[in-house]
Amino acid sequence: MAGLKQRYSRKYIVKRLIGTLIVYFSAVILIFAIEHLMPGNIAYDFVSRLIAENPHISYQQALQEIEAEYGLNLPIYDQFLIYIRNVLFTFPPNFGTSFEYLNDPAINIVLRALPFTLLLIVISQLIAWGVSIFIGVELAIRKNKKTDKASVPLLYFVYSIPIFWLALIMILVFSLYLHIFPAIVPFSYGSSIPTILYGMTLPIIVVVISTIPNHTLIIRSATIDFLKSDFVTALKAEGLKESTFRMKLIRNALLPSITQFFMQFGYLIGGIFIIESLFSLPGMGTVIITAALEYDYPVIEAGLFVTSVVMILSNLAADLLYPLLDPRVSYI
Amino acid sequence: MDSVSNEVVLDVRNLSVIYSSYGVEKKAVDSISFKLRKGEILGIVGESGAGKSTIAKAIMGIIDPPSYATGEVIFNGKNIIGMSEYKLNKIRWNKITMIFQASMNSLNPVESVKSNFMSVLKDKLDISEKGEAEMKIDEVLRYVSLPLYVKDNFPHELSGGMRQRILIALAMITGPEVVIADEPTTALDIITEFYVLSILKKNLKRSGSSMIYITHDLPSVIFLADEMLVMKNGLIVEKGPIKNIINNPQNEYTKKLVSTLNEVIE
Repeated sequence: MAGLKQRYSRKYIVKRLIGTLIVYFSAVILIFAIEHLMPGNIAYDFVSRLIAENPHISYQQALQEIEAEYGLNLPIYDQFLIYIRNVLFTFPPNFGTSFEYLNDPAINIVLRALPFTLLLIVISQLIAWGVSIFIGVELAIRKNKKTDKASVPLLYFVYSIPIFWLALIMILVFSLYLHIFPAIVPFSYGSSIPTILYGMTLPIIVVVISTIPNHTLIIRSATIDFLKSDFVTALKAEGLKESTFRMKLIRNALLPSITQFFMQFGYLIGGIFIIESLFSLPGMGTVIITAALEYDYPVIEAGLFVTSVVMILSNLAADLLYPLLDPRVSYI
Repeated sequence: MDSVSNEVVLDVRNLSVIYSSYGVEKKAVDSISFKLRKGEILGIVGESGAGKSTIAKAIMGIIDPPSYATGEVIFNGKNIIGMSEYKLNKIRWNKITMIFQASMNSLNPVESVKSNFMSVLKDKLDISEKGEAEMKIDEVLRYVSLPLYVKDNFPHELSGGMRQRILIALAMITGPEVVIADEPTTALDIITEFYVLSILKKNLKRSGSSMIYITHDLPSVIFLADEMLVMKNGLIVEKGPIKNIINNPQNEYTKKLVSTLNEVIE
């Protein structure tokens, strides 16, 4: 048996992990750079806010104190070194406390939101890929037949529906008219699992519907190519049972899916914000958007950081899992 | 010729195959007729595009619509052209099997050799018990002189000659009445080719199966076959016992074919 040792050499794994670390460092540096390229001055924003709440504070004094506390009066390279020390050499990475919730470390705010986002994406994508593999293979088998000819334009139609519009329509129909699901997610960190799942149903349905067309079209075209292969001709000659034949097609259709699954995963982590904020779901998107509107820099940084880490890990997973599904691929 | 009886297993009558693409029809095989007797090896020779492989596909019933076949292929008293998929599936691989080209990837690339055998055993011979299936696989692997460990390999890990012997084993495992071999040794070097062909011949003798051997390689037909058909542009231009055709070719194309062979020998 071509075991795992033959599929992955230690050299490859080490090389791949070093590559991952380089991407990780670059992401950390970029987050610092983006922060400093943003217009405005962090300290001014913060002090203005303080003064708005406490008008008796002296502007200059507050500015000096804040700059001293956050190290904003230091030269940029010193700030960078402190940032690197706090992020790369501290665990968990320290982005400072939130400007909004003063005693709460920014990273904690983001990490509390992460499970909701992951839950939304993982459940919706498992469902969406499962359905898409089935539909995609069936459409490929029926290529140019009526079902296929009718389905493909329909898929493109659904594909082109903006996700926020779909979400609004779903809220209108299922929450306001039918009262089946809540319009605003009725839970937060610490709610019971049934409550969370119930509240998540509608957002999950929206994400499933809007991602199925993309996945199905990928599977359909991969399977159409695959149906032309010599091996499928041989399978037909073998006259196997319909179910056996389908299983073999699905097994092969899984190959393009696995890479897409993880790549979409990274994309969705960044793209699902709008759904979260429409449903007031306390996920990463809501946290980052709120932070951006409030100029809560530490939380923005922590949010970008966690998003990057999830993306890097999902890409790594896609790379490393592929040889398990396709024996022809080995990382030697 | 000694093992060939007069019983006809496959009777092909006026078989035509029309390839259709975007409304344009082209006759790839033009009303050909021949008989395959029990235990016989019938060679079909011809250049690329002569319609040889198309005959194989027509007999297996795997011509993709809108292309279609007309005429009759009588097997066990029934015409299998235009037969329902359900009935065809009872004949496919149970009674008539096929050996595909070595250069083609005819094995499921993501499954081990064993799994490739298993689905045939399960669907065709109703063998799903692991021990019994393994024994059966080991048996046919021995017939084609392959080491037993290859069943745990994936197709891409094996050499062309090994893959070809696996395809032979896969075609012989159900004990078919007819085997259709479509250029089974095209991609192999000449020594491996001869070796694979001897193994094929030995296995046909053992099982008493008949074979349609499709190739463009005349020497291998002389080595294997009892009778041969020469095809050109979808038509049979000459047919008969090998010796007669080699010694006294009638058709222009056959003459050219035989003279090339003689030139090579000289």
